[in-house]
Parts: sequence; structure tokens; C-alpha cells
Amino acid sequence: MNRIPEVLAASAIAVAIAGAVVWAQPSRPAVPESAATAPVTLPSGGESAAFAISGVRVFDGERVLPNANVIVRDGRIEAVGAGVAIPEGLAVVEGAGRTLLPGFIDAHTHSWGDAQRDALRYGVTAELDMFGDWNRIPALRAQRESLAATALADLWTAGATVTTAGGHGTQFGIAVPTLAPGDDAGDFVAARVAEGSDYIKLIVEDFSTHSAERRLPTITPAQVAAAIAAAQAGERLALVHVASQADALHAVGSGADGLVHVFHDAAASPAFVAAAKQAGTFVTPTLSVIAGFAQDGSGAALADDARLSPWLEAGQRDGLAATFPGAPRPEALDNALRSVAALHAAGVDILAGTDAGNPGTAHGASIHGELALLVRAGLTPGEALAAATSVPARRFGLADRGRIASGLRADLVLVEGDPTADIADTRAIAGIWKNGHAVPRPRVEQAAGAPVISAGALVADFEDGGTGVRFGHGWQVTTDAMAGGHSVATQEAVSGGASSSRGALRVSGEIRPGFAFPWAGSMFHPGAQPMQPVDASARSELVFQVRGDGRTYQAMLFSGASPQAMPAMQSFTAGPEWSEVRIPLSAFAGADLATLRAVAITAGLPEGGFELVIDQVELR
Amino acid sequence: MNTLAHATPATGRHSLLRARLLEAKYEFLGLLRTPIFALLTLLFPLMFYLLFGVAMNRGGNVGQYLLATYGVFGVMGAALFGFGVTVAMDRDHGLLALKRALPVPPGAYLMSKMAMALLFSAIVSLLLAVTASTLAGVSLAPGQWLGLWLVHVAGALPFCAIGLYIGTLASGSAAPVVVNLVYLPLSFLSGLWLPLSALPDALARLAPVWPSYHHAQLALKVVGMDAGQPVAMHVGVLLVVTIGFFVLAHARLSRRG
Repeated sequence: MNRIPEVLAASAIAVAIAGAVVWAQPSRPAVPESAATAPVTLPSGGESAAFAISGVRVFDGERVLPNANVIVRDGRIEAVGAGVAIPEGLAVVEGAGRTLLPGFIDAHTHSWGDAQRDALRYGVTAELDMFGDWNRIPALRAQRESLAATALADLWTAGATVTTAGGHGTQFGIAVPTLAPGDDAGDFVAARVAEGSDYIKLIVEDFSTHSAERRLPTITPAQVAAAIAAAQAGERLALVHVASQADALHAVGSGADGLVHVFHDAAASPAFVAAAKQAGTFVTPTLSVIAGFAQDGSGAALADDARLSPWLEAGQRDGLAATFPGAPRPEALDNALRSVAALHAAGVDILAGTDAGNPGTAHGASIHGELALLVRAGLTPGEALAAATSVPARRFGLADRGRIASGLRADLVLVEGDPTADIADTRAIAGIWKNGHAVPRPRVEQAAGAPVISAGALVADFEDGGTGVRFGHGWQVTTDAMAGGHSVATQEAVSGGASSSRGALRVSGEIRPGFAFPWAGSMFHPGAQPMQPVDASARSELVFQVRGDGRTYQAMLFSGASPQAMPAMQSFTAGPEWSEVRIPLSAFAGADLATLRAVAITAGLPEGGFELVIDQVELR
Repeated sequence: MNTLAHATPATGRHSLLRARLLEAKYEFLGLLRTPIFALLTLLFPLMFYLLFGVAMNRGGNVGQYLLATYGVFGVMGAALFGFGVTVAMDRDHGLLALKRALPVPPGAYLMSKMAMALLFSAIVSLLLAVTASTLAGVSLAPGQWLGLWLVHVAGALPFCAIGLYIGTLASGSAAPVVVNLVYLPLSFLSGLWLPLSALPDALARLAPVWPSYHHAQLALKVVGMDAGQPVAMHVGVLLVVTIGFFVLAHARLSRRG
């Protein structure tokens, strides 16, 4: 029996089908890169290595280069500029849509334990410690001079501070040298210089701005003047902790190089502003810790920001959640904000410092909150970024940091978006390099499964004139173009929202033929990355305000193991008047709330234009 | 015997054509006498279309997509059942053996079945087109209507071949089950009921394994909703499948009858 024809036929069928499968694969829409949740390995420019970032917006510490190439080699920035050629064979990081920043310098911290590690994970490549163990100073020096790979931020420190027995700075359970009321401040400061203090910190704090009853002993005005003079004689900066305007005025008058807090008992008077300006004193307001006095929840809000929360260690989380004892003092923050506004307007150098180590703060994460507070105080986003990069580098004499320029140390932060326009974009970190080495950033929460959706029901109220959200990755236009369709949509923040709120989100576009089930609209990602799952199982209802053209729209929940899974859908109608849409999450058949990936509000068939306005979107 | 053999050559050509036509006619009559087969083959896709393309349709494009894919579904059914089940039953009844003894041209039996499959396919496609244009509001250019109809009808051929092969493998009572086992998963996995984007990714990636996927992509290409792969690839696969399965079926028939 001759079976050759049969074998040939079967083989031909198998070959044709296998060929078709292989051939057809690339034309299927691929999973969007951004949907992948695996951490991306970035190239390194550490010793004997190099990489480039192409077409990136660069904030060089002072100004913005809108579209530049940056080359990093041997731990340093080799070249930066629009015309910089990228050598053949170099690994290239795509910079479009991103901004490259100098590594942040937190100009006021108390760095113990894991502080340097926590800081670097959030793009803080240097911390200026304002009181800490002086025995570690030689090791800190060696580390910050090295270009080796490290998981730690570099650290400068005041070492021991200039304080008196029983005064502020002596309460932490470690033996510290103190200055007795009659002692000579000059000898005391000389001992600090001999210990290797990078700068001299004086503490002028009698607690009068914190409490009506409790008083702390503090150094005398004469000792302040003498210590400042001694520090400067020893070629060290003289930095002063003050809490009241009177003490601040005295410190500035005594020639202090900088105040490491802004006082909070009153807003800065014109006399103080003029004195600080004339003396060239800088101010590190530490608004983060003063916001803690106000107990305004800004620390907890940072912990809830899904762009930050996946990298928070338990200690950082606890720090952000902690509050100062006693009643809230909102006027402290008001005074501080007004002072910063006045000082900045007068041209006094403002430095970003968080006072991390205190309740309501966390190393690293809090610099992002401090930047936002500085913007709230009236700095432009660019000025706030300078306050965390080039200004502290200049004032503290950190010659090879704080800017992106050829020859400088490659301490760099790459973020999604444009923080020179929206300061909160510093939180969307795409990459960190320390000494040119890429810093690995595994998520802390990864072992624990999907992060729980942030506390607070509001997803977006669109009050600030942006399309921003209280947490998550934000609202993005979504259309069937990703599946080969031709529908289009745009979204913009508009003024005038539901129940006379300030703003809302308008989504408009056109449903066009070209795909079986066309859609276009806007999509909200509750995770830090698009389509990253979060656990929303504690939520029960999707509620939002809507106004529109009378069409039927769909609310969709994306969830489950695969980002490609079909969404669960519910329809609603958007009429010309504002109305509230309430959909129980249980109505979204098949949705897995434990792995919620996205919420979308979209138009579908029939074809044609659509327009709707949404506001106050809540997951209750 | 010799006399008879020599008397016919003058009319041989006529009688052969006549034999083929008669064969087709009786095949058709046979199908008409099992109206349940004819009705189901014709009405099944139409019923599906009325349900998903018309009743549950919220706009134009679903109707258009499903017109293309239910057409493929329909012709697949006509071809697979028309061949797979009837050949198996004819084999059971010994009809194939009988036909060999009759003075019928060797291919007439298959030709008549194929003609019936194409006829049913043409009717299914036409019924869907009428429904789509009247009830689902689908509007296509005249060239598209014609192209879709041609693609649907011609696309029956690979399934005739597959059906024939099943018919040579299975017994008459097992054939309907086997055909259904092939027919329904093939339809689902090729995106005939739901777009492939609605399927799990692995299944969607495997879709080009199924000949029905390639047929559906050709139909979708006519209405501008295909995945964008070259026509040549789809036609090539369908051609290889058609010839391959005819060869396999022929080999099996000649061995066992």
C-alpha cells in the first residue's frame, strides 16, 4: 500500500497551518509596553560603562532643555544637549514624554537606620543631615567621594549640634556634648570642626512657639553670635534652627549662613525679609514637618499616592502616618507658607528640606511632598526643583552635584511627564541613577500581592484645573485605535463642575467605523502603572456626576489576571443637566474587584460625535 | 457485453453529463426529503444572526462583522454536514460500493455533493445578506456584497474536503457528533461568534491554526474589518487544506470504500 500521497497531504496541511500561525503573530496588537508590570532593567553608566537618554526634556538644575540627548559614562555625565550625538552601540533609554532631573538633595534630614536607602529609592541622591552620630563621618566622606555602585544616598552631616544641657537635641537618649550657659562657644564649635562636622548647626529653641507652658533651656543670643563666628572662622557654614521670628532675626543679624527651618509663630515681617535678603541668608523652610504641626494629613496623603506607595517600607509608612502630639496648629503652616512666599519674592534662596525622621515624614518620599508644598507657597515648579537640586548644591558647596552638566556626577532621576509644569510628576519615577549606576527599584509590596486601593473614596474631583487624580496613574484617553479601530477622543479639564464645583473633565470625540465594537472615552488607572491591579474589594459603588449629549455611555471595569481581559460593562445616559450616576460594583458581572486594573467611561455605538463632562468620580 | 460496450460511444459524452446532472438532482431531492437537515443548515446561522446581529445589536458595525463571520459559520455547516454526515451514512448503507458497480462516472457522486454544498452556501449567504441589509442596517457597496457572497460560497470547498475526510473516517451514527465536535469549537476559536480580541490571548494567537479563521479573515477583509494579514496567506492555507484533505479522503476511500 502506497501511503506517500497521504503523508504528503498531511505534511502540507501541517506546514501551511504552522506557517500561518507564525506569520500571523506580529500583526496581532501587542501588549502595550506600559502594561507590563515587571520592573524594567535600566542600562548603567557606572565605571567602564555608558548609556544615553535620547530626546528627553532636561531640567538641568536651573533651566529646561526641551529636547536633549544625555550621555552618561564612567559614573559621570559626559555630555548633555540638543545636538549631542549618541555613539554607535550605546544602550539608549527612550526619553520622549519624560523629564531628566538632577538627583534630589534633601537639605534637612535626620538620617538614621535605613534613611539613606529609603531616600535613594525615591530619587534623593544626597541628604544633608542636621544632627547625627559624628563617629560615622569618615565613612560618610569615603562613600560620597566614591563612584561605586551603591543603594545609599550620600550624606553630609552637622554631627553634634550646638545646644545646651537639657535643650532641644538632647532628648534622643544618646549622650551629646552640650554648651553650658557660661561656656565659650568658640571652643565648642572648634571641637565639632575637629570631629569632622561638614557644617555647624545651632539650636535656638525654647519651645515657646509649640507650647504655652513647657519651656526648654536654649543657648543664649551671645552664644549664637559667637558660635556663628567660630563656625565661619573654621570655614564651616553656620546653620541655625529657629522656631520664632525674633530668634530668626537675631540669627540673621549675627551672620548665619542659613536657617534650617522657617519660623512658624508669625508670617515673615518686611523687616525680616529685608534682613535675610541683605545678609544673603538662605532658608530651608521644612514645610513638611510644619505641615505635621498643622496635622493636615499631608504625610498620610503621600503614603496614599500610588506613585509612591509601592516603594514604602513599613518604617516609612509608619513615619508618614505618625502625628505630633497635641492639638493641630494649622496657623503654623499658614505662617510658614506666607513667609516662604515673601522670602522667595524678595530673592532669598529657598532650599527644599523635609526634616525627615520626624512624625509625618519619610526619607525620600517626603521630598516629593516638600516640592508640592513649595509650589503651594508660590514657587514655580521649576524654582521648587532648583530648591531641591542646584540651590542646595551651590549653598553647601557640593561642587559636582545638583545639576546636569558635563563632568558632574551622574546622580539622575528620570520621571514620566513634566514636573516643570506639574510638580507632582516628580513622583512618577521611571529610573534613578546613582554614580551612573542604575538603582534597582523592586516594589516593596510585590510579595503581598496587589496593593490595596488607597483610602478615601474620591478618585478625581478635577478641582485643580488638571486631569489629575487623588491617587493612581491618572485619567487617559482610550480608544479602539489600540485594537485597530479609528475612533478618536480628547479630554480636557474645564471650569465649572457639578454642584458648582470648580472643575470637571470634558471628554469628546467621534465613534468611527473600522472595528467591530468601537469605543472612545477616558480611562482611570488606580495603580501606579497603567493596568496595574489594585485590591478594591472593600469598595461597593461607582458614583460620579455627569452631563452630556443624551447618548448612552458605558462604565467599564477592567480586572482579573490578564490586562487583555474583557471589561465588565454597565450603561448610563448623559443628559444636558448634571446628574449622578450610581452603579453598584456588584452589577459589573464578572469583575474581580481584588484585581481592579482600570475604570473607563466611554462612548460606543452608534457612530458619530459625542461629548460628555464628568466630575467627582468616586469608588465608594 | 462487447456489443453493448461498442454501441454506446456515440452517446457516451451525453450520457456522462446526464449521469452527473441526474446524480445532482437526486442528491438535491434526497436533501429535500430530509427537510430537517436543509432547514437547520439554512436557518441556524440566520437564527444566530437575528439574535446577535439584530436583536442584541446596538449599532451598525456589529451587524457588519457578524454578517461576514456568520456567513462563514453557515457555509462551514452546510459543507461539513453535507459531506461528513451523508458520506458516512452512504458508506454504512453500502451505497458507495453500489455506486462503483453502476455505470456512473467516478467523480459524479462527489461532484453532486459539492454542488449541493455550494448551493446551500449560496443560499445561506444570500439569506444573511438580505437580513443584514434590511434588519441590521448594514450597507455595503455592490462590489462588496458580491465579493462577500463569492468568498462565502468558494470558502465552502475546504470544509467540503474536511467533511469528506470525516465521512470516510466515521460511521454514519458517529459522524454528526464528530462534525459537531469540529464545527462548534472551530467557529468559536476563529472569532466567528465573538471578535478574537474578546478571547483569551493564547486562544486568539492560536486562531490561525483553524481554516475557518482564514476563511473568516477573507470575508472580513471584504467588509474592511480583518486583522490585516495578506490575502495570499489565507488563500494559500485554504487551498492546501482543500487539496490535502481531498487527497487524504481519496486515499482512504480507495483503500476501504
